[in-house]
Parts: sequence; C-alpha cells; structure tokens
Amino acid sequence: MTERPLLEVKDLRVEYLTPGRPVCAVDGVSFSIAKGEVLGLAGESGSGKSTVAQAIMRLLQPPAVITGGEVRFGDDDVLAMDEAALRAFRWRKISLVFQSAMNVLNPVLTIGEQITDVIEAHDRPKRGEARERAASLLDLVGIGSGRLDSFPHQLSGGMRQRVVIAIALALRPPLMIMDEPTTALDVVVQREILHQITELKQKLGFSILFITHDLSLLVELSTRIAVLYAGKMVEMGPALELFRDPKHPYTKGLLGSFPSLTGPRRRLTGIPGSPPDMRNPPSGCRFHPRCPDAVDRCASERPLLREIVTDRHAACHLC
Amino acid sequence: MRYLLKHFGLYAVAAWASLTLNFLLPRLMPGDPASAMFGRFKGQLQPEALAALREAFGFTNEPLLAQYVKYVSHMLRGDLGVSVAYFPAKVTTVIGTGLMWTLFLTGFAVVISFALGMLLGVYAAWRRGGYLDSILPPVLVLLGAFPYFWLAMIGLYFLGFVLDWFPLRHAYDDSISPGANWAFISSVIEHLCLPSIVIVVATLGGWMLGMRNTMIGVLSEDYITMAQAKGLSQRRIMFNYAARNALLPNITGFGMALGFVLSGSLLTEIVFSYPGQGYLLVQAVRNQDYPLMQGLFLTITLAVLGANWLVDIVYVWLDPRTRGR
Amino acid sequence: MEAPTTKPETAPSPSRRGWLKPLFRNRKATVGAVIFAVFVLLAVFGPLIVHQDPDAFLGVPHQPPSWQHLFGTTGQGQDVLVETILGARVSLAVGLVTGVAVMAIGALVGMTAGYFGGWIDASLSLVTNVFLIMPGLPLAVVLAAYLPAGPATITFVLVLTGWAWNARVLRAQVLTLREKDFVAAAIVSGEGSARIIFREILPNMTSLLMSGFISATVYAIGAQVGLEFLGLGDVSVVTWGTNLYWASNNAALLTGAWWTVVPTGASIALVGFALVLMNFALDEITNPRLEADRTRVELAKKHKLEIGFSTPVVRRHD
Repeated sequence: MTERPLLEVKDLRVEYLTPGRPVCAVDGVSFSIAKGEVLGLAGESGSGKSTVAQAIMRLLQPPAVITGGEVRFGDDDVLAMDEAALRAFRWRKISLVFQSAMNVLNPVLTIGEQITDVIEAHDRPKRGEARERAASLLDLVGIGSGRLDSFPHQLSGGMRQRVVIAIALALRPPLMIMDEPTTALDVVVQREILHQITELKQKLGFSILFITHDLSLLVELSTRIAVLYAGKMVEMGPALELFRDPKHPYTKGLLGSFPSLTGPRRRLTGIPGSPPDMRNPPSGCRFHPRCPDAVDRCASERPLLREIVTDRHAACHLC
Repeated sequence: MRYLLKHFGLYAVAAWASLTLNFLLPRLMPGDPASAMFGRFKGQLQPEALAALREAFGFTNEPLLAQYVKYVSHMLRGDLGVSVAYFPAKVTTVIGTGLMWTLFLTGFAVVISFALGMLLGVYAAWRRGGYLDSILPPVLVLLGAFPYFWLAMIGLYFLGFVLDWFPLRHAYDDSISPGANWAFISSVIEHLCLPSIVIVVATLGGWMLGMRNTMIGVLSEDYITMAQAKGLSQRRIMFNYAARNALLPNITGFGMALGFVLSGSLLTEIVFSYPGQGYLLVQAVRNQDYPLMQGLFLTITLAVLGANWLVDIVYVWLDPRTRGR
Repeated sequence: MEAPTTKPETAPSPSRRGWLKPLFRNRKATVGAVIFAVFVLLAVFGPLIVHQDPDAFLGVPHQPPSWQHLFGTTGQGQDVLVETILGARVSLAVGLVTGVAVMAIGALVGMTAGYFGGWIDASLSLVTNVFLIMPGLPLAVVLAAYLPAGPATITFVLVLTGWAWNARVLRAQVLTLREKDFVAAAIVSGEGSARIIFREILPNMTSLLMSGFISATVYAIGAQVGLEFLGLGDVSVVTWGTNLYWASNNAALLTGAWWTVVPTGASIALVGFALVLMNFALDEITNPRLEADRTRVELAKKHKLEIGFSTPVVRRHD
C-alpha cells in the first residue's frame, strides 16, 4: 500500500482515574483506516469501542485520560493538538454520528440551526449560503428541506437519525465515525438507515469507522472488521473472510450467537459468563475465563496480536 | 398552548380562592363579622356611609350565598371598600399609591438578581472547581440565610447611616416634586439603590446555585458532547447549547419563588419606609384596618398570579417543546 | 467502562435508605448539627441560667456593648444578650413545631395524591398548587390579624402557608417510587395500600422527609420573625422577632444602636445556615449524581486536569 492511510491509531491507551488505581478502558489498540474504507469495530458493551471513538476526537472528559499511543490523521498528530487546533480539526476532518439521536440534538434549537452553526463555525459562508447548504443536506438524507425549521421533538426517531447523519456530512469530512447509529431504532428503520448510509458512502466516497455490537450488520457494510474485547483487540481482518472463518474463540462465539435466516439450522451457542470487571481484569488472556478452548498457558501469558495468515490478525495462543 | 391554559386555570382558581377567603374570614370570627371589620369606624361614620360599607362587603341579613354574590359583584367592580386608617379614602386609592412603587422596586431588583444569578451560575458551572464555583456559592447562601429585612437594617445602618452613601428613607427626596425632570429621576434612582441592593444580595445565592446545578446536569448531556465534537466555539456551546437548556427549570423556579421574594421585599420596604405595599401593610396591621389589609392581600395575590402568568408566557417562548407538534 | 450489571431493579439504591450513618461522617452535617445543638441548648437551658425578669427596667437604654452588658441594652434598657437568649426558646420552638407539622401534612397530602392518582391526585394537587402559588406573607398577615396574637397563631399561620411546597416534593417522589419494581411486586402479591405505603414506600422517603423538615424549619424561623417584625406576634412575649420589632419601633438604627439588631439577626442566620448545611450534606449523600460529580471534580483538581475541554493526554513512563 503506497497510499498513506487516512487514520492511524497506534497503541492507544485510555485510562479512567479513580480515587484508587486507574482503570484501563482501552489497552494498546492499533488500527488504521484507508481512504474509502469501512472499518467495522465490534464488541460487547464495556469492550471499550465507544471509548476508542471518542478518544480519537479527544472528546472524553476527565476522569478519562489518554495515557499512551498515537493518533494520526494524515499529517496531523491529534494527541498533540491544542484547543484551537482541535476545534478546527473536529468535524472538518472527522465527524461523529452518535447513537441516540434524540439525546444528541439540542432540544431548543431548530435542526436547521444545528446544521448551519457547524457550517458557520468552520467555513465563512456568504449570507444565506449556510441555510442553502443545510437544505440540500436534508434533501440528501431523504428528509424534505421544509423541515429546516422543525425542532427535534417534532420528528420521528428515524428522521432524527437522518438529521444527525446530515449534520455529520455538513463539511464533507473524509472520515465519519458511526457509533451504534441504528441501535436505538426499530428493525425496519434500522434497515432504511443502513441503506441510506451505504448509498451516501457510494455517492460521496467517505471512509467510515462503524462501531456496533451487532456483528451481522458489519458483514454487509464493512471492508474490514476489528473485534474488541475488554479493551484489547482480539481479531482483525477482511470482513467476508472473518465472517466465514473466524480465528479467535471470542469472534467465533459472537458469530455463533446470531441466528441466521438462511442456511442450515444451527444451535445458538452464545458465550457463557459476562465481560470482566475492568478494575480487575483477568490475568493472561482476558477472555480465558469464558473461552471454551482455554488451556493453562492462556491464564498466565498474555497473547499478542499477530498476523496469522496474510492480513488476518488474532490475539490467541491457539491460532 | 395547553400549557398556558392549564396554568391560567390554576391562577383563576387561586384568585377565586383569595376572593372567597376574604369573604369568609370576618364571618369565621365569633361575634358580628361587621363589627370585627368596622369596629374602629365607630363614631366616625354617618349611618348611611356605614350602611354602604356593609353593603360593599355583603354584611346583610340575607342568606350567605346572596351575601357572597353581592360581595363578588362589588369586588369585580373594583370596589374594595373604604380604609380605616386613611378614612375616608377608598381602599383602591390607597393601594394604588403604593402599588407602583412596589412593582418598580421589586421588579427592578428581582430582574437584576435573576439575571446576575443566571450569569454567575453559568460561569461557575463552566469552570468547575474554579473560584466562582467554590467560593461564591457558600458565601451567598450564608448571606441568604439572613432575613431580608435584617439585611435591610444592616444595610441601612452601615451604608446609609454610618457611611452616608445612600439616603435612608422614601422613594425620592421629599423636597423634590415628582415630574419628568432629571432632579426627580436621579433622586428616585438614588433612593432605589439601597433597597434593591439588599434584595439582590438576599436572593442572588439562590438563583446562582440553582443555575449552577442545572448547568452541571445539562453539561453531562449528549448534545453537549456533540456540540464539542462539532468544533463549535466554547461561547456558543456555553450559551446556546448549555445555558439555554439549563435556564428552563430556573424560569419555572422563578415563577414559584416570586411570591416568596415579594414577601421579603415588602418587609425590606418597611425598613426603608419605601412608600410601597409593605408600608401600607404595616399601617394596616397597626391600625387594625381590615378593609385595607384584605385589599392588600387581594392585590398582592393578583399581582403575583399575573407575574406568574407572564413567566409562563416567557417559558413557552423559550421551550419549543411546550408548543406541541 | 465497567462490566454492565444485570441485576434487575429489585430494591432502591442504598443511598436513599442508609443515609444516617454517612451523615455522621460528613463534615458539613457535623458542623451544622453542632451549631444547631448549641442554640437548642441555649434555648432550653438559657432561661434557667439567666434568671431575669425580661421586662424589668434594667439599665440605661441604648447602651453600647460593655462588660456589664455584653451586647449592650435595648431601647427599653434591657440587656440585649439576655433578650437574645430568652428569645431563642419561643423562636426555635415555633420553628421546630412548624417544621414537624409541615412535614406531616405534606407527607399525608403528597403521598396520598402520589400513590392513589386519579381524581384524588387531581383534586389534592389543585389544592396544593393553589396554596403554593398564593404569596405567603399577605395571606399570613390577613389570617394572623383576625386571630389572637401569639406564638400559637403564628405557628398555625405558618403551617397553613408553608405545607404546600413539601407536599409537592413528596408527591413527586412517591410517583417515582410507585413505578419501581419492588412496589409493583408488593401490589401484585396482594398487599393492602396502607401496608405498601408504610412498609415499602415510606422507608425510602425518610431522607426526603428529613430534608423537608429541615427546610420547613428554616422557612418557619425566618417567616415567623418577619410576621412578628410586622407586629403580628404577641409583643409581650420575648422572641427573636419581637426583639427586632421593638428595635425597629425604637428607631434603634437611626440612633446608631446597631447592637440591638445584630445579635438577633446573627442568631437567626446562624441557625438557618446550620440547618441548610445539614440539608446540603443530606442531599450530597442521597443524590448519587452529586456525589459522583464531586468525586470527578476532586480527581480532576488532584491531577491538575481541566474539565470541559478536550481529553487530556497524560503520558506515563511505565
């Protein structure tokens, strides 16, 4: 690959300070996203995936602190930026589509205002230009521009999510992070939104970091998939290959937990136990207490993420 | 709009309750209710005048309901009876003189206190752990623990009597005649300072803490995170995103506190002999001037209800969610 | 961040129930309690120690503080310190009795309205809101004027003008509690309403009842002083309010006799402040979000991090 990746995250480490020992939520996570690529980030709640997303844009508040690693966007070193640089960088280079649209929209401003204010904050639009751009954005996501002066509470859940996507597209950023954009919606609307996202991506060509706990969503949408468990990356590889031939026991467990509508009937396997308490993570491989294939080595020695076959990475002693 | 109508219904009921209470009170006392109210008039009134008074308050030998109807019709016509202390002035005339000054003083002081409190609260919450956040709230709360009128007395003593920075009494210099001239206006402003300072100091703590607390709650909301992610200026986030939302519960709180604040400011007026409703109230109590007392009760209650309704209108203007789909 | 808990909402959070013990450890609460206790002791035992007929003409009127009269004398020549100590008894008594009454009535009305809902709630809420919205002082004045003067009247009037706020707060709490699973379980298992109210809901409201009592007492002490200052109390009874009434009547301030006014005011403020402190402490303990927020701010301060901007990057060398 001669072209430099859009986003490069190396060995990112995020901790939460407590009165006692700090809790490590993200422990040495590395990945990169190329231009036009869709990287799916999968994991259970508590795996650290949302933390990664917000850490990349440095949105987390104390007691969360970034204690190690690198985040590079093109030539920019995000972790070294000051307030002003960050403010210029945010939304223009990377934008964020949040989970629950009702909660991320300001209830007292019209949706038009919430689109135009980000345009005005970054560009210097001429009179009326911001509003025109907002109107065309709403058309782009499939909401009539007549809704410019509506308030968030006047829209349905699906429409609100589209508004959030429209806002995210306002400055045509090269990378969009989508943190569980469909989780709060019902299944039918989910489908519509995903379809919309795919369409927009094809049209505009931006990269996506798609975060979800639902692996099945990722298969259709992503180029590559990365799986996170307890703050660490346990597997990464091209989407289709990972789906057909998962290497890590956790990924196997995740895939086995979803019923498929087609294909032969399979027993749902699921994963016994629950995610670990990050204040006191298990020794060695963090997954070993729940792993059906665990051996003695797994409890004492931490497996490193390594390339098993070409472009397939996994952190497991048994791969 | 339903929001406004619902509240208006409440105010109507409260107004009716006050009216009815005024009607019932003298009748609940043992003995002849008329003499309870007009005892002091003895010897001062011609029989016809006394009869007219009885008529106004419904003290006839008719059944209670008929009396009530008569009483209400008089009230609705604006006839609140005749004052004992300021005989033969009508109650409405007496109250009228004081109403303007009370509205002026209290309105002015309350608006300043609220605005200042909101601003301070916003900054205190924005810079958590800063000076504004850690020092000012406990100091203001301590100051607010003193009764208003005691603060008024201290203010009167130190700033007025000892330091002679401000005048000690009344709304304007007695030697100046009211009019649209600068001497009068400046005198009014001069006399306004001390009482309003007292009211502001006594109430500021409450508003500031209230706004600070709602701001802290709002700052943990997701739309603030999104606003940060959008790269908006701190100023825009602080005011258009955080403060505008945090303001809403405080507006409601403002309405509810109005009655309380007014009570305090009435007492402050007394200390400064400010010619408002408070002063009239004291006179009424001293002279057992029941008609005046009841008239004051009614007008003050109606004023508070009216102010509450205005606050409701402001709230509907500020919160689009109350306007319905 | 942490492993998600899968426990269902079987019991309310411990912070609402076990607030007594943490209260003892809280610094604000202890300071407040100590100050308040001092005044209570003063009120109870003061008059026994200070053996004096408060009405007797003692010394020269309006004397500044001296060794003879630590706080000076009033316009009638009475010792201000004595008057202040004596006044504590009735003032605190009226305050506390009003506080208890307001708490009880507020609980009765608020909990009934909140629990039963429907037309009971609608009518009780209407009554509550009407009382809430009517300004207290004019109503109190009119009522007190028709009744015989004295602390009993004042107490009655204060309770009447003050119960509504508490009722509203308690009703809101009952509404929240009623939705919780453990109440639903009790209803389904056939427990009677009275039993549910007393055994399931009430124990989870004790902190709110306590804080309502404290707020009502603060309000009562202040409002009582206001009414007596107006002249509606029995001016022959020594209370903090009547002390201020006499001081105002004798134009104390205009003759420069600030000592007739300051001790009483300071006492009222100290008692009010002490009670407010205890309430703050109670709020801190029972409101988990406040607690979490405070920890966060303290942590940020300790590590010299600013809140409100971007994620700080703190490199460790380990």
